Amino acid sequence: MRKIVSFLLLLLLSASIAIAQTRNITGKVTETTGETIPFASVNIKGVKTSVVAEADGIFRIQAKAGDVLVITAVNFETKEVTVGSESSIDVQLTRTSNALTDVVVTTALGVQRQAKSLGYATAKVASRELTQAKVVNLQNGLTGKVSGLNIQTANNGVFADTRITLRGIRSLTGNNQPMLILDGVPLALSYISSINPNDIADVNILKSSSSTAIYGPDGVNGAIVITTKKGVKGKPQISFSNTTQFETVAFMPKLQERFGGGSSIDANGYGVYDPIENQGYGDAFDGSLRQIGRDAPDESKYEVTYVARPEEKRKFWNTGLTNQTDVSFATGDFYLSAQNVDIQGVVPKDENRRINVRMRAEKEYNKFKAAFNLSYTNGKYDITTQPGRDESVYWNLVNTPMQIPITRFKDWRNDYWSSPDGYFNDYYFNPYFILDIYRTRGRSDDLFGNLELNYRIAPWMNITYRLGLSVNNSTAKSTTEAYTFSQFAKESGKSSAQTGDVLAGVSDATAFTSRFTSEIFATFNKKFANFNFDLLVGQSFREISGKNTNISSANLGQSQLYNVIVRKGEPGVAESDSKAKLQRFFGRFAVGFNNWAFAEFTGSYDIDSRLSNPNKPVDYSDIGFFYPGASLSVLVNELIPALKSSNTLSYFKIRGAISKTGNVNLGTYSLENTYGLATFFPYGNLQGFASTGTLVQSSYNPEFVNNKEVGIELGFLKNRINFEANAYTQNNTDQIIQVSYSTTTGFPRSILNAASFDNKGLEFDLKLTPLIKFRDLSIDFKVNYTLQDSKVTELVDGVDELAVGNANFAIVGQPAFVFKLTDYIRDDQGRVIVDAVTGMPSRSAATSVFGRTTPKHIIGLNLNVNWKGFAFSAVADYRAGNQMYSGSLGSAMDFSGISERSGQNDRQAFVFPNSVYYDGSKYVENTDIYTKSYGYNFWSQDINTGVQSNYLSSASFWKLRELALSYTIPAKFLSGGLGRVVRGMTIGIMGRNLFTWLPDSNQWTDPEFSTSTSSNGQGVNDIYNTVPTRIFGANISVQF
Amino acid sequence: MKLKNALYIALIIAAGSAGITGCKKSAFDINKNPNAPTDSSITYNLLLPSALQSTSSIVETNWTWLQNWLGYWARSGTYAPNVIEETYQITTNFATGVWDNLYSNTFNYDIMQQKANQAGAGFYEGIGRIMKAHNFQILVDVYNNVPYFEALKGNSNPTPQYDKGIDIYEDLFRQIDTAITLMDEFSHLDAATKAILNVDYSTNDLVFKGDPTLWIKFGNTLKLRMLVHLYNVADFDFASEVAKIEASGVGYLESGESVQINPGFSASKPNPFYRFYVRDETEVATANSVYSKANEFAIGYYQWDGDPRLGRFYTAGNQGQRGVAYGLPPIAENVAATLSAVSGPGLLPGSGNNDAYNSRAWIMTSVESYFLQAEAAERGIIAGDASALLTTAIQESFTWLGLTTTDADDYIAFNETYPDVDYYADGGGIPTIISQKWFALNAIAPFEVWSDYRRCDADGETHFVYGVVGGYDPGPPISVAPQNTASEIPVRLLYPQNEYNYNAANVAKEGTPNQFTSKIFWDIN
Repeated sequence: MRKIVSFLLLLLLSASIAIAQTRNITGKVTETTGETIPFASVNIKGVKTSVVAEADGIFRIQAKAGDVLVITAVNFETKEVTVGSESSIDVQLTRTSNALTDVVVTTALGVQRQAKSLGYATAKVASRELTQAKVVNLQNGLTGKVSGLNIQTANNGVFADTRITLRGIRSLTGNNQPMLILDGVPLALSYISSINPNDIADVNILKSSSSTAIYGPDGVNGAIVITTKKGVKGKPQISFSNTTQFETVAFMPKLQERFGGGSSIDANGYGVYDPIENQGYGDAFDGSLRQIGRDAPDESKYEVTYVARPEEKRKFWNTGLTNQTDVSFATGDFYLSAQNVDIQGVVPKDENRRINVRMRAEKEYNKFKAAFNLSYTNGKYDITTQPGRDESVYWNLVNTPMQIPITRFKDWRNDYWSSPDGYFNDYYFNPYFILDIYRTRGRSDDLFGNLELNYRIAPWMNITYRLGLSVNNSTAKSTTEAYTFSQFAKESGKSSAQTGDVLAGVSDATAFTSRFTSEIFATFNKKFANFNFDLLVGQSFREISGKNTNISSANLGQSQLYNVIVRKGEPGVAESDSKAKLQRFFGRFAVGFNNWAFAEFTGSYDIDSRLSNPNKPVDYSDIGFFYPGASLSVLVNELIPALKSSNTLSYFKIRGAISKTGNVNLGTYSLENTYGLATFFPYGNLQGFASTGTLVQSSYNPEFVNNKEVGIELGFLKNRINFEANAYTQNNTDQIIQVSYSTTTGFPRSILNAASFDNKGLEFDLKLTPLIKFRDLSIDFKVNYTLQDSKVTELVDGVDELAVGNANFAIVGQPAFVFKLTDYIRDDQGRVIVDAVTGMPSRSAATSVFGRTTPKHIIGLNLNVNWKGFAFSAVADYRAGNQMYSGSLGSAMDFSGISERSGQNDRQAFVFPNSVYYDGSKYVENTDIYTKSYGYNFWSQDINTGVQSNYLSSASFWKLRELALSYTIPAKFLSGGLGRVVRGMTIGIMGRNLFTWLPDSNQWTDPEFSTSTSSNGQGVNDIYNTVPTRIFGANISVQF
Repeated sequence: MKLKNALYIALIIAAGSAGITGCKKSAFDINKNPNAPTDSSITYNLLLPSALQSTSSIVETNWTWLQNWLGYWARSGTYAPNVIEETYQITTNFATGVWDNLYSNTFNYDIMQQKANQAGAGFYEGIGRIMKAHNFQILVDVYNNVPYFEALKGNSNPTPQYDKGIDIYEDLFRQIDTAITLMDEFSHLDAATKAILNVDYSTNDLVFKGDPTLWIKFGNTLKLRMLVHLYNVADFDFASEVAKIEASGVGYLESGESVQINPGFSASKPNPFYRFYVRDETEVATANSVYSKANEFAIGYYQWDGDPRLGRFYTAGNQGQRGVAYGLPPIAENVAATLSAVSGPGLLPGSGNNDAYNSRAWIMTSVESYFLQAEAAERGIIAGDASALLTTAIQESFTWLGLTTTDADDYIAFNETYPDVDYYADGGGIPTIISQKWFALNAIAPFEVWSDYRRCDADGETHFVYGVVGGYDPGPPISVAPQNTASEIPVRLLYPQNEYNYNAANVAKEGTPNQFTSKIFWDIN
């Protein structure tokens, strides 16, 4: 803080004051919402003097007191301001709301095009909408704002993993995430986390492969096109902002609060208390004093009152703290920004820090323009490793009976009862111990540079060359701290002491990836009579290479030095390299007629090295492929004279597109089966290899996505009401998919080239901008709805279903994907069949089909309220139509007996709900046959935990995704010198994921959670996820 | 001007293409795997050692559940009950590793066999055929009908049909025949040709170091194992199979000719049994070393007979040699440290348990060979003196475990008239052979002992050890788990859940197997 103050003072001192008769007046033209209006004209009334404001709205003009400035800008109402004695005049213009026709969209290759001419769906999200809730990651700022865009927070914690899809999936098992284009340069999507949201000028979402045809396979899943802020000429503009956010547990899985530790039942069927148990199947809580754990060496005992302590499970998680500071400096054609983010997660001791510096400079010299962009991101993290289930934090917390005051056992190094020797749990470790001994510390360095050269050969001919390079170097060191149980613990019979000695271990991983891109293209633009012709031809080249190495040792003995140099035995070593090239030739020809009809044709020819069979000479017919596309847009309101002058309907566009795009969803070196080094080999000079179990083919065809879409865009009442509707189908053929096989084939996994599925959807966006406008108050409201459906149409010959992992299946005629899970044996009415004597259900070996794994309905609601300097925004979203499977967490909680489910029926015998029994001739409703097993013998056993459908629930939810309130302090309120230096100051508070509404069937966790962001086996969470959280915080930003 | 510009652009684009990629086809020839051997580069000699190691690991470590069922081992009082296993109410998720590991191991032999065949490496091809027969024989004995003729074919048959156990057995005899022919051809080559055609054969054959005769003997012994299993199958042509074995002229595995390997086991690369039931490669005690302890059933029998092998199969705990009843709920008196460990020095010889990591790992022992011969002779399948063969079998068991033939003779003499030891005792004969096989193959070949249990019916009772020994009769080693309602041991495993997931149509044709009533085809009694 002290630094900031002195910085402010320095600025204050350097500010000069000069007053003259005719003097320099500077100012900024903004919208009433605060958003910059670029390129406004500023005239002095009655004089010919006229200037044009810069892209950031700043203008400079010579005027004297009493002059009247006339400020005009397209789509805004003209405003007059009389010059007084001030040196700075900020002007706010009111939008005339007829803007749609002139909206400019950044499309593929960074080419700016008028929205009206596009035959496919796009959406633009402005900087202000993105950052209203001060998100640390851009992807979080996009959630709920655009139809067709599904951003799923797969886990909380310091990395905030997200999975992004546009208009559903186009590949059954491969990549389904859109491409990322930053200032015209394609980048790996993962780079999105490295972008400072405050650097962003706007984001354009290109929803379909038609809109990204020029990019070919990279763009098959649509694209997120990000344009960063550029510098403005003249006076340097400095901005500073700081955001502090807190992350707290939003909700916990549903817990039973009646029974404590134990794992057996007595002769009367009641749970028996066991002080050393990890499971919670003891007797009912009675408030008495009970020993937990074994006696200490001095024969002392640790006792607690026998009551449920559900709050302890919640208190275990930390309040996460994120502190983010941004500084930027912009002037002329130069922009420099820096960002520092410190994140402390909800998992105790987890930390992540990110520093980013970015610079952009450009220079124009006559017909030649050069731009240069350089960005460096450094990330450092320190997290719990969780090498396996038994070493995962959540598992160990789950295996802590309800009476245990777990947060009391933090100090395991000094406190006997918290140490592994004295910890109550005979079978599992103290989660605080896990947090300390298994750590991973990593660092990631991203350097990204691109150079753009542009030469205007003729007014109608332009040539552009771009060179991009992104380099990532990451290292991660996982360490395991040694621990040896005391002789006393071992001899006491403590179970974990028998095998639980932990040896020091280390694993050191280094990964390097580089992505080199080069593209050159020429554009030609000519107008003949009423026709406007646009031609683009170009070629691009991309090379991605990577190298991973890992050295490890699981046995450093008792060493405190975590380096393989002190290992015992042999180290583990691994190395892998990869390299892939893609060469593309592409063209686009567009024709515009009379400013109301626009047609576009595209074609691409790709050559992909990943399709090349290493045992054959390269043949372009194997590795090269061509695909075309076309689109049409018609502005009906321009076409029909009656509509042209309509006051009601101000914009009416219909459009359609059809395109085919090739894609290679295949890793490098995927055309030959591989053999891995067998465990422990080599023994001296004796080598040994074994099949890796993945079956590949010697050739693959590229997948093709055949996209068809139509859309309509309407603007009413000078575009105060905008409506957009889209319908699309994507026919995805020749899918390259990895499937699970029977091990009897020799291969548990196979990568195949044969499946087709259709993916179709409807999207509706309604924008009321403004919904209400009354004096200074304006309220905007936007709602979007997405309907997504898919159907598997064809699978590899002779197979009508394929397992794609995580209980997700592709089945002909069904959506991609559906769950297939084990279930109870049921009669034809779906009632569970129980044994007529024992009352027990049984589990079916055959699995049954359950619902879809991804949402069918997505609704997003956005509300923005502006009043004077106040801005309020709220985003809510809804997802439904799908199921979620919480088998990992759910069965763990039933096994350990802390789940609400496991406390049912007082843990006594019960009539299995909705069950029938066979009376010798028919199934009869069961009302009086009680289960033979109950309590521990039912809920913790396979008859319950092995029935996967027990852990299936509706995945629908409503989330209050964002809530933000900010106040911009007008410059005039800033007294004296401060007002001259500080141009604006905004303070705000915000919250994210504040409330989540879930159906009762979901007893476990956030439906968005997933085991992985990249895999297509979605809708499945696991024990490695953290708890659902909410985030709230405050922000201040200052512009100088 | 316009034309000039167009030319200029064309030139730039052309130059760009050429300059960046070289625009040569060879620029895209970069898809050869630099990270791992592939189908085109892997050779048969690199596949054999790892496949053999994997087989020994399957034989030694995949049967904890069965060791428990057979009365050898039990869960210690340190662990919570495994209710499914201890009530025999197994599911399709139970012990699926047996299936997966055997198929994946067999697949590696299959690839090796094909590669060897292409290269004319008959020695390796022969080993491939014999080891595949070994694995499939176990699969049939555990699951009855399994995919065989259509199995291991990758994409040519992604959903293999199930074949009848008897058809698989029949074909395994033929596979071993071919292997024996190949081994015979190999044995007639001169040393140089052997080495040229069969790269590294003497080092990479971890079992017999390149000796084709011993492989033929192993092939014959495997055949004998199957013949003994088939005894009750009425229409099987035993005579012609036995004639083939005799024609080979080398007989069965003899003393000291066990199928076992030691590629160079060490503390950080331990013997699989040691790694699973004692300490892992980081020298940390494994969970199984605490979980699996001696069963009081077996301890009782060895003690009753004064059998010195007791101390070779088990290592005494802190209360001497002591076992626990299988299925007993955990109580403090039965914590792991008080019970005998299952990793006895006979199984892991060495100068103490800490050196046992470098013990040889077995696949099939010479001990079993003699027991098979004794039973086959007794039943008249082969010619021979059953009594003498049984005595040799017991002696071989003693010596294999690190005792002496004198010890064996003393043991036999000490238990005279006890039918579990004395072939000539009242109630002796086949029951003696089967009983002694149970004593001898503790922890070594549980799947074979399980087969004996299933196919040999002793007076209609489900005993392992036949004949009441001087009044000692603990009855069959049925689980004492309180929830257990079954009084018999399952006769098979259920097909794994993955078959229902990924090969659903074919496994469905096998109906709904029941672990108590759906018998293996040779289990006719």
